[in-house]
Amino acid sequence: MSVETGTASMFGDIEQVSENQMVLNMGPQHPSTHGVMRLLIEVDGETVTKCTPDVGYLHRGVEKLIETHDYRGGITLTDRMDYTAGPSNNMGYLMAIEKLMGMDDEIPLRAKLLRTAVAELSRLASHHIWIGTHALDIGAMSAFLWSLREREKILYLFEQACGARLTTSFMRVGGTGPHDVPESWVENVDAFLDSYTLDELNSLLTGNEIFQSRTRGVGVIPAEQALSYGLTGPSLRGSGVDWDLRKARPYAAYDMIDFEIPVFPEGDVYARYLVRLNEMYQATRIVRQCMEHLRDLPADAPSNADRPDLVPPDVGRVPFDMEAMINHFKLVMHGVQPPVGEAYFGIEGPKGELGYYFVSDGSGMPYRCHVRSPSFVNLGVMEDAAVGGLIADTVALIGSIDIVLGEVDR
Amino acid sequence: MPLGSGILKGFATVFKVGARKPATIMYPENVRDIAYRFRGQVGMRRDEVTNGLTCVGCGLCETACPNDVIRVDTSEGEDGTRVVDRYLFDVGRCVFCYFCIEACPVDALQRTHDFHLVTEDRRGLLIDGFKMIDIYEHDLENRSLEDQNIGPGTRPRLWFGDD
Ligand code: SF4
Ligand code: SF4
Repeated sequence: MSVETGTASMFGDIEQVSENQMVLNMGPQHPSTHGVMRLLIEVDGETVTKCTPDVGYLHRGVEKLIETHDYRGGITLTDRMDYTAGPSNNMGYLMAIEKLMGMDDEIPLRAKLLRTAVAELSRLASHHIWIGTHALDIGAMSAFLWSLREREKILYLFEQACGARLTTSFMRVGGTGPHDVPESWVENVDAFLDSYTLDELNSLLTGNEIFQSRTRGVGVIPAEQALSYGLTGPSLRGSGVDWDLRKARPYAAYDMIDFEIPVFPEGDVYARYLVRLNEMYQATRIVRQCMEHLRDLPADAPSNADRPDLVPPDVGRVPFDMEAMINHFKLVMHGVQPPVGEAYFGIEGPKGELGYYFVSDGSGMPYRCHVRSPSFVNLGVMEDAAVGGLIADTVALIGSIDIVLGEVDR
Repeated sequence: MPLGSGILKGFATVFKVGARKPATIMYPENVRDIAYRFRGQVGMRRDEVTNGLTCVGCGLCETACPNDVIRVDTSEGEDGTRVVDRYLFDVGRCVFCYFCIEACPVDALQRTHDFHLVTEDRRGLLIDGFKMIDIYEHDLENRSLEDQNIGPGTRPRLWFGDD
């Protein structure tokens, strides 16, 4: 029996399709779908026989909107895709533009280190949201409250660095832009890392028998299936495939940093949990090393590329210096203008490979922009992985592939 | 490990954390520190000479804004200079990215920490430059003196904070 999207009644939750089978509408307002997503689940008794994700409720046309903005204006839109990890979206967007302009090697070290540090901090923040909501779905309330408490400290660091907690619009093409972090920020990050602990969450969940029985052997995604669906990020590494863009194609400052990629072969919900938990420990290590490298840099190290056609002059000079004023006006009115061409750049976002593809016609606005959002691609595996499990296992599975609907629907 | 020891370990942690001082801030009574760089409502500096808007009507903020928040109407004055007739700011569309502040060549637009933007009437969200001056000056009273921006050139780029 095939059930197509939309055949289930809009008004009743449940529709009988045959003697033993019925269609269950999970969502679009269900807390465990992590946003506005509908799952059409065909169940035989309590066992799922078919699962169809129905997405698009949060579609805002971000890709099309980016094409109507100049390259700088698009930064504000990227914040709003994966809103749990704004800075890493900004970073992928900017690095794709930098690749389009062929200036990846002109980015100064200080900017690279800062980008790496905020990307890892945003990975921590994103994984905190994930661990909290995932545990909440499974029935652990304290983990949710504690992880939001820790996340709040990270968001405060973002606020100190750039002024916003979630919609950071951090960094610009060519470096950090005017948002180089304040001098005290490095000490604040160190103080945060000293006070930060994952052991509480670890002792609450990892050894917990109830948590294990809800997650072990549940929602198994074998490695071949993960690869054929194009899974990336922790969901892929939870299936035993050792693939991480930070090691495979090091970008920013990752080649200077010593860290490990956790891989667990079981492919179940628990393996993906362990991957992310270990990734959080690694993220603190990376941030700490970035801060050490930052402290070793000379105090006057540049944080922007030496490109007057990209980086605005010191605004204090603008009213008094004709050259600076022309440069400033030109930059604001015309913005960044990459040469004709196309470029794709992917970074290892918290949820998987976050890639941006640009086609430029030489003007100040992208001719075409496409976002390869990890949540959208990873969600596809639901169709296969949920089959054969129970309805409650579906909830655990959604939590473990860590989707953000802002990024799925864009 | 015997069955249940993981749960007991979790319970022990819960009691340990429960005995600590709560991290919650009871908001309206207590407010947490706002970082100096916090991006709140955009304010406008008062011009010391004319006592009006510092804005010279160049329109850069209008161009830089990704959301069409700002509208500057200008006309030619008697002596041939550009006069700002009206400066409109639609708070309801603003995303507080501060691209406008980065763009302003004379530091007319200023950072404030004002985040009390809740309203019951959307018409009140369309404000003009003089209201922005009020917001900026009111905000300055509640901030320490060394945070103040003195003017273009005197302390360049201060609006990004160099604490
Ligand atoms: S803060 Fe951003 S959205 Fe708001 S007026 Fe300025 S440029 Fe426009
Ligand atoms: S950029 Fe500054 S001076 Fe120019 S129109 Fe805007 S507020 Fe006025």
